[in-house]
Amino acid sequence: MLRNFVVLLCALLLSSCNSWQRIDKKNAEIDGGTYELLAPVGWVQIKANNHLLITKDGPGLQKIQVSVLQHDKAFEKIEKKSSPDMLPAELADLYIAELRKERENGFPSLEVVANRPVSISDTKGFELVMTYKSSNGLLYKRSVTGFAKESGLFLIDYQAPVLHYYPIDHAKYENLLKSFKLKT
Amino acid sequence: MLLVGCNTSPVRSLTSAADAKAQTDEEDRIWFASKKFDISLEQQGAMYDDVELTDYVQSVGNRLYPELKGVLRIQLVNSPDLNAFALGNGSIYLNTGLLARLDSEAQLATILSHEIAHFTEQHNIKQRRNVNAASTAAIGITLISGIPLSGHLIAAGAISGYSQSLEREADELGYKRYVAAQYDPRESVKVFEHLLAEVKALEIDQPFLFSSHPRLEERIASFRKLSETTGKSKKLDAEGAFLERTYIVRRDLLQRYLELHQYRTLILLLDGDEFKNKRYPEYWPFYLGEAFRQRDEEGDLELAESNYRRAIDRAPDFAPSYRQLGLLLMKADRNGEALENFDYYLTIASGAVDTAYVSGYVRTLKLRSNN
Repeated sequence: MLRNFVVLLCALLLSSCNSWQRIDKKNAEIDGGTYELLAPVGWVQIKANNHLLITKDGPGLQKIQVSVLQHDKAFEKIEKKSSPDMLPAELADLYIAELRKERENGFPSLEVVANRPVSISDTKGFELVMTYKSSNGLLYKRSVTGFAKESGLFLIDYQAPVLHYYPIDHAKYENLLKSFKLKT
Repeated sequence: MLLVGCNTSPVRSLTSAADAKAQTDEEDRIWFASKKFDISLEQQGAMYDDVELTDYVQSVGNRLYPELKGVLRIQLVNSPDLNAFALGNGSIYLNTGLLARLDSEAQLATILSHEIAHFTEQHNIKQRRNVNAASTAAIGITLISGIPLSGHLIAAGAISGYSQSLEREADELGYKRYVAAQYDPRESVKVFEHLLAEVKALEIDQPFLFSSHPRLEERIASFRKLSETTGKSKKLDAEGAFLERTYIVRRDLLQRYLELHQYRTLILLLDGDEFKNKRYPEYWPFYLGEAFRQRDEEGDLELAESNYRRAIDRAPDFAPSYRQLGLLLMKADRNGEALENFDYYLTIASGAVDTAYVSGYVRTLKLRSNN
């Protein structure tokens, strides 16, 4: 998942077609191909390779990332695949394992604060709330909602520093989740 | 690379705390950069915070090198990898993954005496001066991992190993200290024998601790020779007390391996040697069951079930065994048994972070039984 973010940023740097777009009332309804959602007005968004990145002040300060991963590439570090028949709790466990495996020493600062079932766009999924420290010691909070469909593993991920940023923009993430709809 | 100058003055050995504090400019730069790396590790939350255990490990280091008391700072890194490393300022880091594999204080002393010798002989500086294309490339690779530049330059050699000749020097000098502290020479060989068995069984590349060391086999032979010439120690090694002190590390490590899906390691550690498993928590079969579930080869679900049941027999209050057994039974449509296990899990694990899932399974199973 960290790699996805790095790939996304690299794709943005290399691509002349993609650029940050300001979200206003006219373009707040975003069509992600397999889904649609309502993005927060006043933020900026960019898309690349099945990833949508939304931020207000910059990805280091807050970001919402929507990703649709192919099942056979969902958990590459732990050499596992996702599938639509997996229980949400199983997907959540694999997601945590993948996160830990991506970081040095098994990501010891990562702590799972909550792990619960949710329903999103009439689909059963998981919601994880986690905290972790960045390489320079800043404490972040991260909420991830995920579920699996035939078309892939869907992940909606909000993260921001606990200090100031996470609480003030959490409602935007909640609103985005409420607006999230799978296209038929 | 900025730190690699044209300095050709001999690198001195540090033989006392006073020695270590009177620094040349070059040493001063190494100390400063090492300190930055110390801070970076702490900030990232990489340390294993158990004061009592850290104090104990520190006391073993102080026994080996009493003249450096106050300069050596031994810390535990919360990492499942088999590694230990020394920085140029006297910071010695030992991963919990390695500590958990050791059977005795003597084996711990083997590792520490070697690492401390890297510090006393200032191998960090020697390595910097002899930096070659290969290590430059290694440093380049590690730079992209996000740890501050200067700290990483200093740590790169220390973490990934020194040249073969420097490793040999650390082996020899460390071994002298080990024997002088009256540890049993035969124990030093066992450390490498155990690790070699694991490296072979898991078919992994040599772990970092040994990446550029003389190969493990060669090392075992060399330590065996040293131990034969030294003879048996007078001091008895209290294995039981050591295992008691380090129990918490082994307990936590099983959970780390489970969370990282390192099921092959769990199976290697736990499958087959009931006697050795006494060093782990009573409920160790739970982790073996989980490892088989994660591996998911033919027959593994049966092995998982039998191990969950073994865990329940041995530790009836350990809640996760009931949850995982319930899940396995639910998937096999053995709904009545699954329900019993989930119900019991919810009774004894009311505060667990995942109870909402299990409550959902209970509702589903009750609906199924009503239809």
